[in-house]
Amino acid sequence: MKKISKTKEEFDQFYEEEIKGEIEELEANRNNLKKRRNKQAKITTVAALIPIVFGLIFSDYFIAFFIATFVVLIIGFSKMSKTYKSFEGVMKQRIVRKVVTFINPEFQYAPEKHIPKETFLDTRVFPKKPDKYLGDDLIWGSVYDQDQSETEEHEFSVQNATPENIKQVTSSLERSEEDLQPEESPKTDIAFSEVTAIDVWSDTDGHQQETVIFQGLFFDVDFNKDFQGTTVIAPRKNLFFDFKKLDIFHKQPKLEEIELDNVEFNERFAVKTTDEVKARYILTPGFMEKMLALTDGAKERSKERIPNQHLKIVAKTIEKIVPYFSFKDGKMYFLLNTLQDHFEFNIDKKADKESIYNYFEDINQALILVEELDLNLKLWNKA
Amino acid sequence: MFIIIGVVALFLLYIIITYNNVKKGAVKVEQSFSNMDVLLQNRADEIVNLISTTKSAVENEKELLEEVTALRSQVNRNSTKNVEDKLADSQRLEGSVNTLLGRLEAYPDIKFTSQYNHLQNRITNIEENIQAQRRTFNARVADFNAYLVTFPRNIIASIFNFSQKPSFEVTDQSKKENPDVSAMFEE
Repeated sequence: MKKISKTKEEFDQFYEEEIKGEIEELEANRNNLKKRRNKQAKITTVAALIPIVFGLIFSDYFIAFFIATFVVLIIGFSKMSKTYKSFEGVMKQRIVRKVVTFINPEFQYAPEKHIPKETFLDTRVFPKKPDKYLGDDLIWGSVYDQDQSETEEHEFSVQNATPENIKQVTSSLERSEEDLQPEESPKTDIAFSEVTAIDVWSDTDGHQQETVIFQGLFFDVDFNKDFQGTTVIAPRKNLFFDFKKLDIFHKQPKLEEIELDNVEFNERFAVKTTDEVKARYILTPGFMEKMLALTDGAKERSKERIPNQHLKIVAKTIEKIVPYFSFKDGKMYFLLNTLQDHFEFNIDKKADKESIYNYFEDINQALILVEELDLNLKLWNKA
Repeated sequence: MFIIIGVVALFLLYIIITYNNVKKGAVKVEQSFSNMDVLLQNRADEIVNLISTTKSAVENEKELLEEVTALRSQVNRNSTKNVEDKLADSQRLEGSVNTLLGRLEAYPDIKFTSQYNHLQNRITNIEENIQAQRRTFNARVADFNAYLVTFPRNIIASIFNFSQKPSFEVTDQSKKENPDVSAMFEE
């Protein structure tokens, strides 16, 4: 089967040819914006100090000066944030967009948008509606589907072509090419973005606290089989809630936990479904193996990005990198909780190859997902 | 006296609960088998369509087509048979159909007709559903059998003549998770 994701070697070549020069061009812009940001920081500090000094001298009017300091700080920070956003906007438009097109020319990119909250709730993975739902860097598009029988049959026909049957082989290839005109070819739609879901709660003293329910990459992909119902797969070692309470906040149809044929899969994941047979139809033994491999690969890639810290902190972070899957009415959702910011640029540092490689990996992950799970292999009943 | 009555009542209650649970388990297994039976019947019906679509173009496969037709008729006459016989017939039919689909791949005139592709997709889809139903059936049978063999339920089961149920094991001939399309080309 044709590989649709890109390799490290392909990235290296792309970086040298397309990105390196672009970063150099953008360096002048970064330095200008950095200078402007530093200037704004200095002006804000001085402007904030003046009312403080006055407040100390004229203590009767301390509150008025305190408010003035507060207003100065807000204005200063909003100016600095605007400067950063302008830097980030340029970088995303010029660098990330190029990476997106390199990975798949069919993909589109909207830096300000994200997968909607309704889709997040539709997954039924989390027991509670998040109080805050944020996100950015929406990438979406299509991957053209491959019919395994067509692809392999072509290879077989051509390999076995003889002077006697060459006419037949040629005519069959022509016929199948007619059948597979791009505009008619079935395709797998995919969309993904960075998402953060936060639960806000009050502690015993009445103070508001925030817990991050999910922070990572959220993929919404067409599944290669048609089905109705919902099947949710979450890691057994769950972080923020007890999987058994999963449908407390959700209404009918009820999700029931089932045991599958794969022992390792059962140990690592809990599966809840509205229809046991449909869950087994989706989660064939072969597909479960692929999901385990995909999960390990995604975890490994996220692990490599954890900065060098104390071993215990690293171990704790790794434990939190968990995947969730949800299958609903012909759709597959993959949520990779990385607890990391994706597609972020540092105004104080020149963008290097490693950071661009991380953006590349995040986007490439979507194609790896389609490829490893054969989601673009339409063999069965999907129109 | 009250203690003895209480113990007897508890014992009777346990027997009733166990009996009901076994009955419920048996119903679940039967229900699962009925669902699978419907799919097996659907597959047999689609095979008739497949044969009528391809018959004229594959004179060389006459013997194989006759075999599949005979097996399909056997499955059709299955309504009076027990679960084991139905499963055995179905497995034989599955093996022959796979062989037939593999052979049909060698006929380009058939391969590229949309009707044939549609039928092949439908059969493969039904196969996938049968596999899913089979795994569900086996899971229910395993739960049922595990419930029966544990003490003291095994004693109650033998009193009421409850016996273990056979699972649907896949034979080598019909064993396949997803139909291996590439293997079909190697025939």
